[in-house]
Amino acid sequence: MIDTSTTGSAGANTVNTDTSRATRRTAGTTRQETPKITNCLDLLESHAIYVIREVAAECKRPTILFSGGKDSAVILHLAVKAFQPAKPPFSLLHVDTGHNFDEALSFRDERAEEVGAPLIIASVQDSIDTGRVADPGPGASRNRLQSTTLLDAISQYRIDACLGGARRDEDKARAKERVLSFRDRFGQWDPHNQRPELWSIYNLAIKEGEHLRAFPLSDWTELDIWHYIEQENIRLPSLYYAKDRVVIERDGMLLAVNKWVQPSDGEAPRPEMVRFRTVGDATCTGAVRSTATSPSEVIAELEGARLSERGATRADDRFSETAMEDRKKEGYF
Amino acid sequence: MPGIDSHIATDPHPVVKDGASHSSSATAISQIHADLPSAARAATPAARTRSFHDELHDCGELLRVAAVGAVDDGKSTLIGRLLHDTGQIPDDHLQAALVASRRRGMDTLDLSLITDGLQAERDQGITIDVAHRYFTIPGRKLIVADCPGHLQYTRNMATGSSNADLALVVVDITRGIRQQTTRHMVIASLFGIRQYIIAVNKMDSVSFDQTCFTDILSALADLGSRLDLNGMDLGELTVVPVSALSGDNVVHRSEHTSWYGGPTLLAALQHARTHATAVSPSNGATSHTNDSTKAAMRLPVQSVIRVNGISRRYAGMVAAGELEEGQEVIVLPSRVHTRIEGIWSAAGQVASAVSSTSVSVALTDEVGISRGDVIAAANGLPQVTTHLEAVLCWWGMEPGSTGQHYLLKAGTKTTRARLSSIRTVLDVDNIRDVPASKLPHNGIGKVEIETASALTVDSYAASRATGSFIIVDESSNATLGAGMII
Repeated sequence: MIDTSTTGSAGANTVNTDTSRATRRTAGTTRQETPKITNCLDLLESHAIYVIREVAAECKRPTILFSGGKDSAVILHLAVKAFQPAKPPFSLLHVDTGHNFDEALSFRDERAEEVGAPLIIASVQDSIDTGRVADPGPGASRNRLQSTTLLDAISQYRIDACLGGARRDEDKARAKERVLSFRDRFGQWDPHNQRPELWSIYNLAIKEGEHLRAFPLSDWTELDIWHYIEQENIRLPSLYYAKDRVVIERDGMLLAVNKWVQPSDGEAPRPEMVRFRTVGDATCTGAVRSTATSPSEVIAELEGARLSERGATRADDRFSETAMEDRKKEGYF
Repeated sequence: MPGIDSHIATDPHPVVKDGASHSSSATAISQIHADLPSAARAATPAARTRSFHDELHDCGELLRVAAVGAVDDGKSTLIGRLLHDTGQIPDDHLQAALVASRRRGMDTLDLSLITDGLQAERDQGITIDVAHRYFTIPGRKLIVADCPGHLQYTRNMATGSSNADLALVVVDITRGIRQQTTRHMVIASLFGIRQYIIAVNKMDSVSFDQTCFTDILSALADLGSRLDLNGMDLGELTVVPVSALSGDNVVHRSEHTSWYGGPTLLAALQHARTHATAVSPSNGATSHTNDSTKAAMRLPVQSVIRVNGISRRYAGMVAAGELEEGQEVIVLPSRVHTRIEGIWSAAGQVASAVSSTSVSVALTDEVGISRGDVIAAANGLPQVTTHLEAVLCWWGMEPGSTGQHYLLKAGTKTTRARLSSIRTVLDVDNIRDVPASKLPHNGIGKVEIETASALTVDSYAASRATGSFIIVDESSNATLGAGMII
């Protein structure tokens, strides 16, 4: 039984913390009262900035994996904060499956320009054209192919660290991931032989040809991300918010009809009020029924959600118990 | 032992010391909450949690929990149960675990499959690496590091406990306190954890017998005494009889333990001290502000940010104490005196910042500062030294031995280092330091280290962030060990 009578003081603390944070925010650049880090969002933000600064300090050619999705938008926002008023010392790398939502692409380009970061686009189509990987066929997911394209780009640009927006709450394989995760010369992750990771002392030492994946959002949940988006007023592609979109139902998932997703026999396209919980390869990213048109409405919906983020939206993780683990070992994000 | 918490006023549960036999002996346990003689607290029928998310408009405070215990004592199942009974397992995860359970020939849901993730773990039925779980209870967010129970994965157990506010120790009542349980509690104690919830699991298999439970309490008191003899400390223990299998006293109060009046596991987690209210290991006082605000300020410099190519700001995370505008500081190791001119946190310009805040600062004077330097309050200086005495946990496959060279990273500073002396190795099973000349794989020893460059450090007891370091292999770059400065 949950004894709600004993939670009063904790609840009161939370409210006070919020107020102080809000006060600081609205105060802009004026002097403020002593911030007390008791709020978990402040702690998560502060730790993420610490990780981003460690990567910048110890790596020669670090990049931010930037898809235009919400998690990478948060990473970029944090990277900008970490080095203000200077520019963040990172390039942006997008692994382009060729099956993108147009809006995510234009968002990507706009943000890269605003931040003043060089944008590297690694194209899965190029990997197919040069015979690095086989084309799985029109309309099929290119998610798994991204690993080869990513590793080729890492090698071509001699990237020694990739900052990614992956979170441990997303998947059971990711739950085992370190904040700073070592990749060997073949880009492989060895989950059974990970470096011990203690306190906030990160071992970023690698040899030529090896690289690191850094996950500053490791301890954030989907809800934390949205609370932060709301608090910081972080702009996102409008795909994340509900509107009437033409969808078909396939394998129990709602897919938006677009260039790559066309109705086949028996599939009836229909308009539905939907939004996307994740924005990935357009062929396998499902939409969810929603009426949320703002971060606070999204938060309200998520608090009552019965499905996990990936369970609700990613067809590629439904293939097996270990789909993500298998992809990660090969070098996936 | 300094650092014993005797402050119990914030605990809403009346603390009943568990009889003279357990509380009178000198132990490293400041308090055992087991709340046994409790006729007044009749068992309440388990009530289903109503919409659990209603109260969670904010993630609130953060509580970091290391879940430890011997293999097969039911740690993964208990965490699965906690998530399940608080309604926080998404339907698709539940469905996947059900399918996996059936595939393994079980006709009911195996809750441990919720947390065991990797293929080899499923194959072998054990937990190999730390899995992190996130969930919310009213007013707080929990990060649970589910740590491996097997001996060879002790490094991962240390990974999970180095940042923890609390250790959740799972004990199988049919097997009692085992060697690995002791080992984990010793390591947790070394890492500075001073609050423990002991979940005495599988109560259903002893028919919820009170005598079996009190036997565990005696064993814990005995463990406390043995730790105390070696100068070690556990702090505050809350002991809860549970059944992960059937859910008794996990989220819902059990109807089978009317002799027990203490909190359920969930309630114990709700009332544990968080990062924000942790006991400072240096002075033993409970502080309702940050755990290290009373310590002198330390800001290890991570990087230098150039502003318009002219002025500079120094970026880092406040490791201890409170940073204030106008504060008189010393830059170490150069020992140059200056003042804090301005502070910027993620929220913009601020007048002060407490520990764990990522900031950048401007100084009133032009000072040569680079990564690895420490900006410290002028009124409470750390040691600046090339000689460390430390407790070192060793994970190198080759034993650590005197004269060997490594890289050492403390805070943001990396330097070459030499293991100059190995004094003792901890015999974990007998809990005493024994003279040794080598530090074996998975060993924990008291050592001396010489560093090539001067380090700016504190004792671990005074400040976790500036009192800790890691040892890195110069050729393979593997993390070989982790040390805590004495």
